[in-house]
Amino acid sequence: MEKILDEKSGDLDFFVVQSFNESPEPTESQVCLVVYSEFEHGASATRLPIAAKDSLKGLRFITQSVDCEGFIRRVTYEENIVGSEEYNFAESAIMGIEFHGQHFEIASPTFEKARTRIWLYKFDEHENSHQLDFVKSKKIKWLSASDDQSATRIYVNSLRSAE
Amino acid sequence: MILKLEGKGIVCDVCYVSSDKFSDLTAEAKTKSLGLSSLITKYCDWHASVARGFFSDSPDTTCSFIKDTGALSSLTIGDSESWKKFLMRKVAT
Repeated sequence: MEKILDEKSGDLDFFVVQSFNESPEPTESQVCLVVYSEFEHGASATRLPIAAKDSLKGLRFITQSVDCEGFIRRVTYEENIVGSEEYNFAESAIMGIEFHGQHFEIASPTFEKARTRIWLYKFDEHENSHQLDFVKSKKIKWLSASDDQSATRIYVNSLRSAE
Repeated sequence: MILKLEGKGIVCDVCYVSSDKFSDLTAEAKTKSLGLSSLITKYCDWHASVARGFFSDSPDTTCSFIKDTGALSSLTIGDSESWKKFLMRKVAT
């Protein structure tokens, strides 16, 4: 894990690709919420316990492809929420940092302005699958007036939330 | 040391919650003049983080390492050469 250069290709190895967790389908009695915030100028500051004497050789970004599978793919990637032209087709989401075997979650970004949207999917008996409820989605009041817009993220303090 | 990521991005989350609970939380949010966000965060059955803001394969992401002394090293995520030089050295240099 300490090798950062591929000796054959000379390529730099500073990314660890984390596979997307196997995600369950929502049950018939569950609704699904897809929440996203798009921002033009945001910043995330993650403190890393790296001392001045430490080498950075073991530092790697943990990334996860947004081109995932199953229901999550259908309601995000296939809806062009992620992986779209708007983001230059970027698909490798930075989720954390690995440093000598330790994982650190990337801090939530802060931003002054963002466009936040919420899509509600409910089980449709006729279609036998979850379908977008556009009207109800538009009625959801996700943030109150006093909420920090940057706090829109559903924060779960682990690198792999479904574990 | 602080890793700073900046630029254009998107945060995307998916969560599941029971229909009944969702109705209760929606009503509670309305009664208490809360945003649904804070309640769903606490009570959802399952959650997945799809994107946390920034992408390693995006030209819109810039990356900086800020040392405790305040010194700054800025890097473009896709620039392998600058990364190679950066990772090969000590933080103190």
